[in-house]
Amino acid sequence: MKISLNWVKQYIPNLEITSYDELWKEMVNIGLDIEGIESEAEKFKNFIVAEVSETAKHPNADKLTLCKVNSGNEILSVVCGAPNVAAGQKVCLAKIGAIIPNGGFEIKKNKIRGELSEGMICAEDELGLSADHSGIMVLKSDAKIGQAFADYIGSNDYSVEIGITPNRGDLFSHIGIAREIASIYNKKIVLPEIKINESKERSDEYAKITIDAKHYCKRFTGRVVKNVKIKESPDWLKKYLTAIGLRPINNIVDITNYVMMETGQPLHAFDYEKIRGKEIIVKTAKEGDKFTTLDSKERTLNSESLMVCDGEGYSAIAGIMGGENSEITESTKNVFIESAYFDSVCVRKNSKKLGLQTDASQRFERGVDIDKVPFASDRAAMLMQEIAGGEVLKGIIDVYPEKLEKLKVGIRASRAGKIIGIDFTDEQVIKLLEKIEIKHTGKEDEYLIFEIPEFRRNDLTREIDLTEEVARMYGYHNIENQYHFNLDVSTHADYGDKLIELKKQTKEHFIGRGFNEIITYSQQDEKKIINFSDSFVRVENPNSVEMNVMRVNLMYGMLSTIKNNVNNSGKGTPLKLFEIGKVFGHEGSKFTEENHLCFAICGKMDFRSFDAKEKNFDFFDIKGELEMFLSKLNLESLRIIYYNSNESEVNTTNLLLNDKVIGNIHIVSEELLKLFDIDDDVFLAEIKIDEILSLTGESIKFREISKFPPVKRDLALIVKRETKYSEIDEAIKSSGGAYLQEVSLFDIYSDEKLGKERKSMAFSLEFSSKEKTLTDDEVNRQIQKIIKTLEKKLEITLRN
Amino acid sequence: MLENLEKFRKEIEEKASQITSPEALEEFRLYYLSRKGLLNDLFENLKSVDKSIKANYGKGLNELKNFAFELFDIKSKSISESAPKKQKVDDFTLPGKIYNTGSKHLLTQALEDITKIFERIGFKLYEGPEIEDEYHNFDALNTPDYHPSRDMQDTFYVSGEGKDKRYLLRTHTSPGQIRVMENQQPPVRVIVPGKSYRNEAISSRSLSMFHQVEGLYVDKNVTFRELKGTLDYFAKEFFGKDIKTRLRPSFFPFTEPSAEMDVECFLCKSKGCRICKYTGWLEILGCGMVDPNVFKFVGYDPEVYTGFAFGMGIERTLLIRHGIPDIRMFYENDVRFLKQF
Repeated sequence: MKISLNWVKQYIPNLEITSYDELWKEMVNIGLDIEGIESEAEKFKNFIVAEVSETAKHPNADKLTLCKVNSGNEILSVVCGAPNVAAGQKVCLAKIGAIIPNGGFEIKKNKIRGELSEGMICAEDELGLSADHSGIMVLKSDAKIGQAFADYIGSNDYSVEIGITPNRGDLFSHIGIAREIASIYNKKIVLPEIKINESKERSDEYAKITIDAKHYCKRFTGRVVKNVKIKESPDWLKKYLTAIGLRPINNIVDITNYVMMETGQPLHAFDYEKIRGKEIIVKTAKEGDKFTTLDSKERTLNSESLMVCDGEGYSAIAGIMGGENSEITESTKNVFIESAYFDSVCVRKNSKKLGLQTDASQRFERGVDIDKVPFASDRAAMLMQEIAGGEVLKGIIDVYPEKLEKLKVGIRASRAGKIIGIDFTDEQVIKLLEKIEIKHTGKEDEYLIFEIPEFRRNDLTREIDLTEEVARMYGYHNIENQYHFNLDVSTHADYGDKLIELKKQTKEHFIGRGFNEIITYSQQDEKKIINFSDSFVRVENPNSVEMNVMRVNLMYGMLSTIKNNVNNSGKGTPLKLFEIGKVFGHEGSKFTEENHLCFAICGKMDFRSFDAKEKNFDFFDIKGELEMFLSKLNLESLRIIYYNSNESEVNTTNLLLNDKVIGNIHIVSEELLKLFDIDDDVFLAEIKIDEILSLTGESIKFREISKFPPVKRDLALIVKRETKYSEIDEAIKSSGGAYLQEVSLFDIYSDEKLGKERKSMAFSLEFSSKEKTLTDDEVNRQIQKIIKTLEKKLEITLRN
Repeated sequence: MLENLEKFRKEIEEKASQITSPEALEEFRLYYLSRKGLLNDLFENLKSVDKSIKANYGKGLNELKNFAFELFDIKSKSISESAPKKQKVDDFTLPGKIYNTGSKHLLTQALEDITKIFERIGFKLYEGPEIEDEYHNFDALNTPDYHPSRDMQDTFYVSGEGKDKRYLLRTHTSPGQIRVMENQQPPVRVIVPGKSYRNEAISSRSLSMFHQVEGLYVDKNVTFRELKGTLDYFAKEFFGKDIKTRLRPSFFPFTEPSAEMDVECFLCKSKGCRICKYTGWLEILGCGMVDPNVFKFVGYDPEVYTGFAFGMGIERTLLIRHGIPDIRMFYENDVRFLKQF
């Protein structure tokens, strides 16, 4: 909410602000969240009072005038487009560098249709003072040339944008803000005095008010003001409204806005002549009915829409917006002022359903001061009399079926102390709360009883609410920090500590392996997700169709990321990326969330050297990464098998645990690469972290390290082409005896000599014993056994 | 014939003793041991040897061959051992050999930094679900339906056909508070990092997904003063020990008294700049004393226990701290961005 400080000051008698900086600081300290401060003087920097000394016709444009303008210390050339400009006028000149308040553009030295212009003579609308653009603003003839324009118009105001929290409806008004600011200076606010010369005619003879929906409308008042003259508002009123960002419209509309911004009570002014049947009925609408609001938009109502109706139909959506059919116009003579209390939840629901939020609805939603409903009406009537020459009819029609009782709330000083951490006396509590009109009325047992002012009824209902006010008035900044912590770990529970640790460990591993961690969006595009799964969690109200379902894997985000990187850094860029995150699904009546790990490589190998050949990543790089990861977790025993789910997808390999798939490695298929618009081969693995969690975490048992040197033997084998590495590996291990420690493949080749049916594979075998140094003989015998087994099982021969 | 062998034996022995370089070794191998070498020639000639001595000659030839190979092996070993081991570098300015350097995502780094600070003072990590029910995300946090405070958080709902409750993407990590308290009695000290979601238009300043860290401490005699001290300690650990903090009154449905914590703007040293909107302060987190209504929802007695809670968004603070111009960069994952941190 934007306030004008000058406006606020009206309600705090004898307020002297010695330091604005101090005021801003104190406002923040009591919870007025200042989001911006505009100084009016600052706004009119580079605007001065000047005199038009001569005028001449622009040679190239009929409607433009060339002016010589005296700014006090120089004569400037200014091109002016206004019809009313004339020599001898005192005007507001925007000098070079001035920023025009309405539009925000900066005045620069330039040529207009070939003629030099060194400034701009301003109209009222350009200065943000009114909507008047009929001509330039002509100042009083005694205005002092060269004077700052801000001084001339008495602009010493500050417009302050204050963030209002949802609990403080009372702060949506200048009086509310004044009350808080007054507390800073230990002052009390004074409300404007109501002075109306009521006529003899009675309001209630002009209108009848009935509340049908009593649970939604707790109070409804009406006043009738006759024979108003619709015209422009006086300067003081326009200035206040402009200062808080409202556009002045006409005196009647401006008054209702002014009183709303003053009191926080939304008002609505009806053209009395347009109230059919001269009666007002507050009731809910019929489902599906149409109604056109002030902004000329047709709205569809529902059975919960609370409406202000006249004898024949709808006149306004209660608490939100009036109808076009009863709008104030230039020709309005008689006005009906509505000031009412509508239920906050009712207005909120309506406003949400209609998608219509207004200054009025914002205030009703947070709750208005039911006691001040007639006051706001009186205030508006008084101003209509003063400003619009209206005749205020006698009395206010006030329908208030169930008068609310005063709300009383108790607070224990000891309890407040226990929460805040400072000992308070009863006297202190009373003094702090009375600063903001929370009145002490007595004591019951330990409880100090306070009467809650009506404007805080929704907010202060419990002891804790008052405790907060005590802390706030005491000043959070005056509460000393406590750095002494009491550390009791007796109830520390296991919140999935192992999973958290595993995820951390996994991240560290992949970072160590040279992978860059990525974090991608959880919400993804259904059109792409369907390529991975036909079951997913849908977002009901996505903010983009590309983010309408929850991800089912991390592969999607990974491929998108790879695509972006290839786009940005070029084809072939070495990419090693990983992500750990959740994927989502359904299981019966429950949603599921699984932790996944995805890592991928793409492009050239990341080894950069002046003497090494460039090589692209391949499938065995990703497989190696997976093997290293599993080995890091001491999970080498997990089985990796090939798996062809269908003819077209032969590129996926599953990682199995007890015959359950807990992850897979992909050579990403042509189709997917096409879908994500990637040219390079992508090798990717996705693992279910939760599944491997169960296998890890056991404390690792030491395995004895042999003191005796190992013996190494190489075997060069001639192998049938279709024989798989895993078969040979298994055969060697099964026949290698207890001393065989390691088998590693170090070469594969084929050539013409071997022919098409054979390949050569060279293995390095390592033998060792924990008890002794192995002799050549022992090793040779074992090697012979291995060779025999290979011959028998796989028809493998030795190469010479 | 057999004398011949003896002659060769001597010759081989002599030649071998003269070998001192790999080149000489290779020469020796070619001359004697290769397929076209002397030994092979001798074996070829074996066919034409007189039958009477053929057996003896063959045996001798074999011995000679073994002798030659043995010598070769010994020489070859000694040469390779005596070869200079030190690499010679002619140009030290040649570039080093580089592999990709891994990196932890900036958000992960910050989350870990923050959680570590709280772990040092006895908070435990907890991670809750990202798809939440309305009860945990709102109701139990004292945020009833049709209360204006629900407007503070525009919510993504997920379709839950066949489900008994309404589900949503959690709008904050605060439901973690409820889940922890539902399952244990005080004292409770937890820190809850994680993803949260709000239905906001995507721009350089806001996204529909972000990371938050939530903290909760409930015990007997937990006070607002302790909240202030704890958060001030955190700020000094995270931003540097000279940083100043302030608490401003604010409102959250699940805490009372509520506050927002600012730290001195570390960009302008609190002189006032565009980033801190000329206030000299940066808003870092929301906090407050746990509202008694929240305790009622989880079955704690508010007369016995008090507690504090706080929650902070991570992205915005990092944007400021690192001078990152656009929040979307966090999720675009350009490696040129990732590798900088």
